[in-house]
Amino acid sequence: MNLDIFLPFHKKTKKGQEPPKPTRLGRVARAIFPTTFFSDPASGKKGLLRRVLQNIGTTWHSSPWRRVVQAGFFVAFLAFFCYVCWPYGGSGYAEHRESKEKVAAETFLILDPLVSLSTAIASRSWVWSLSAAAIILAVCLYVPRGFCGYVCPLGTAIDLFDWAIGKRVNRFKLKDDTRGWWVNLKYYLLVACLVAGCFGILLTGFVAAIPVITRAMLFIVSPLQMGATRGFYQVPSWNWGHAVSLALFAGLLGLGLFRRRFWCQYVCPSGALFSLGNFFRVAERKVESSCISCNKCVEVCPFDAIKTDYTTRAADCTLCQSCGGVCPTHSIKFVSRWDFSNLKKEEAPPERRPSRRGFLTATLTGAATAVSVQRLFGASVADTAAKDLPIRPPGSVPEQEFLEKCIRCGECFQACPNNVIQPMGFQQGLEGLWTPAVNANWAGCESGCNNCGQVCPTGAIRALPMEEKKVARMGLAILDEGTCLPLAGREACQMCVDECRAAGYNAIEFARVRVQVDEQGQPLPDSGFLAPVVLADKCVGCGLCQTRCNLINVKAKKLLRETAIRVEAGPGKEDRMSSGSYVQLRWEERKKREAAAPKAGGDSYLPDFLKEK
Amino acid sequence: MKHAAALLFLALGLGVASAQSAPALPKPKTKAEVLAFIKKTGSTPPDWFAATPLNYPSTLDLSWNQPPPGSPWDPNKNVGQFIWTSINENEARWKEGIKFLHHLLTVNKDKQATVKKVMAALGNMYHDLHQDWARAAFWKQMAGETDTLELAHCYFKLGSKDMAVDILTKYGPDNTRHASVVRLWAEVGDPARALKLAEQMANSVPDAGNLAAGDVCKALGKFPEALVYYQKVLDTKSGSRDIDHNKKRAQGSIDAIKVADGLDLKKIPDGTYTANSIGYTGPVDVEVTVAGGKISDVKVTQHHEKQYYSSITETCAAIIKKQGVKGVDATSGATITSEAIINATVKALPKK
Repeated sequence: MNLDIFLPFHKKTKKGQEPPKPTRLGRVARAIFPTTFFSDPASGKKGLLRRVLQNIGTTWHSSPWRRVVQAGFFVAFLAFFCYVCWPYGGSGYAEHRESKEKVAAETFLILDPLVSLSTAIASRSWVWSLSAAAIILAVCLYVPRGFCGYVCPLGTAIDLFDWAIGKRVNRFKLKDDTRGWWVNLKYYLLVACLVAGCFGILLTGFVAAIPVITRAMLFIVSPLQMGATRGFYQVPSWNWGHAVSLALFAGLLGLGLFRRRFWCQYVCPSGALFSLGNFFRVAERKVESSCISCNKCVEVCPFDAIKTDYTTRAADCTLCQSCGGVCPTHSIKFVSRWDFSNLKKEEAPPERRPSRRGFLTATLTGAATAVSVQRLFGASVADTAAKDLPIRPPGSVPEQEFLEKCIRCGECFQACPNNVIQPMGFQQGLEGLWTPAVNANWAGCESGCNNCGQVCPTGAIRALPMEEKKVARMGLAILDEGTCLPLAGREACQMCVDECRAAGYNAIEFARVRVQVDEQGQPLPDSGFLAPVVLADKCVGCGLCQTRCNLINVKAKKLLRETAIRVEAGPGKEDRMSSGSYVQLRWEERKKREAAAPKAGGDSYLPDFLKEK
Repeated sequence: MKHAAALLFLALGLGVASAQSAPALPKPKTKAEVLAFIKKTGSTPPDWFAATPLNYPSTLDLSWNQPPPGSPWDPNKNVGQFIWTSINENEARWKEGIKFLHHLLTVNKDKQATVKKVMAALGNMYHDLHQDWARAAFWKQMAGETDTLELAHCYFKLGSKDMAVDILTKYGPDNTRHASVVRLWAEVGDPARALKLAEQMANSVPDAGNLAAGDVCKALGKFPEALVYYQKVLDTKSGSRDIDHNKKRAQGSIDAIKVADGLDLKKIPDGTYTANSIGYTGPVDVEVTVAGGKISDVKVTQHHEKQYYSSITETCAAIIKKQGVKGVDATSGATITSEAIINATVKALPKK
């Protein structure tokens, strides 16, 4: 087995020496590109490819293929977020997303094994993305921690930060060989997350790689994208949740001032899972005896994965192969773990193993955090009578399970065409932080859109087909009879009825109120007002009615202080089901209603007593 | 319920009359044919009858007793009020309304007076809501009506102008339902007589008379004359609820004519005109530029709409292309924004 993909250090062939055979990748490249691209070992003249790469930078020069792959994945990540998830043209939101979504928009989230693992533990259920996690872990047996070096968009973002800022600030830099208490932090963090998960608290969203970068995109890139393309008035207001998330992200990037990829090497719990997976690796970096101890590989390694004796910290090596490309004696190879030929030195055991004390502390911390999050800052799910329960997106699983499954990645917010769902701050305590809630004052849920469920990586919002989503109740519109303009006798208004009809729900109908009568008690034509009446059996709580009431009556005309129609959540007002069909539920309800309805009792169009006198 | 029926009758008459294309005249039939058709159709249920559920509040007093004078308005108790506030106002309930009335027939079969009341209500509902002329006439006949305007209207619609005229001639200019009489005369094809009647009426009740005359002219496509009559309605001194109501209707008709007739751009001086209209999220400001008798530009200068941007450019372009708002369709899915632009454009351009 040989996994070399680096661009070998360029050496002029000495007289009488055989020129080095090109690698497999090299042979393929030579078949495609003209010869001017490639160096000539005999004359020592560098080819075009090498000269260009040299100008870009050392890592591009030493292992260009890795950088190309990394860039490709990063572009894919950006495309998923900024193109597939949003924006949409016209009003066919679901169709438009579907037409763009050749590969699942949440691919990166389901590839992060910690996302699915911790969600499965917290909710004690099978999460379908576990299978995707298993696949990426299997691939990483061949390319240990390859996810971190090649795929992870957070890693790439950190690389970009280092290129733009990190490498120019030397004030905080650690010395190359400093390895302190922090080097095993990632394992402790991983254990803490999983222990908290056992207590039903999902902390992973704070620290797992892909949720962190997705949320950063949501809070930094998404408002800019929205503002630049649609106008900044369309960017919803911020809350403390945004500030906390941004502060965490800034801190994470700031770690890069200590050392390149400090976060990835020492802190990232998703990375820790891959490091653990490395126990079972079948390939690794090896150093041959021709090594001249020039230290170039140690300098270029972005992951602090090369020890002072030039052997490999296999748990940290991403197989980026930058070292291979800078080695002047071609002593570094990426081969089978059990290939011991011609080695400079047998691998020694890791020098700083995670300590028992560290794990114990992590376990206790995880448990304590979980308990305190629940007890002190919890969502008090049991208190369903509480006012202002958050209205969850359509198809959300029951609240307790929802909090256990929602990884707080932010993908649903981006996929929502009009920012109907917005991240919560601390209204529900720490437990509800960054979870999606409907802000019907801002916008209503479009009847023809089911995108939030389709992009949810953990199934906290079920991926409902359109016909199911259309009847899934997320809340119930409640009319304030004291303030509703026609009900209060102030003026005619039927915006909520129009909205509901246009959306196809027909859940609000008219009743004429405040009718004036003449002396005989007969109603005067056109007297009174047409007022809305919500039909509870048809309302799904989309909030379109509330949006219109807010935008026009509250904001534009300033007739009301708050909307006269409001969507409310709670038992009996919403359907929260882990499985099963909403269509079926509606059908059963209808059957029940029909059974209770007055019976026609043999009425006929023309009753017998009227037939031909 | 008499007022309700009259109002709906008026509204329907107006609706028919104001339709742009001339309604296809019913095929002439003899009196015997019409009566036979009414009897045959009227004795059979409409095809949706069996599938329509029976749906009414369980608190309703099905014996349909007239509530004593001064008692509170309660549509959950009183049948008439239930029909008035809930059935009539919701198209989705119109079939249910019929089903409900037939149920009342069965429930009250032993009470002759109530049966008659239900049959009259059925006639009105078939006429006013369903425009089912044969069944309307059938149930009105069953209720004992002979010479009512609604019945005349049904006969006309079913193909007998003679039967309608027979009834209409019985209504003199002193009748309290003069406006309906005028409109029906116009509809059955004698606008001259309708106008004469309306003018006579305008001598005593200027608002209602001129409104009726305006409606006749509007139905005939004589917009300038209609505008004169409508203006007279607006010039009437306010005094009663009825007068205010008629003025509102006249204004509505004037606006409708302005849109339907197209704008006479030649008479609008060059310049830039602005106005706004409420869109999805608030006012949409529109700026219309007229140059050389043409709409040279329509721009949305300010808006806070949240979606469907295409509608903004599309609607503006359509107005410029059609040189007016007539025939400009609202962009589907963005009707509110589109309509706001159309309305603001009409508002912006100076009135003739």
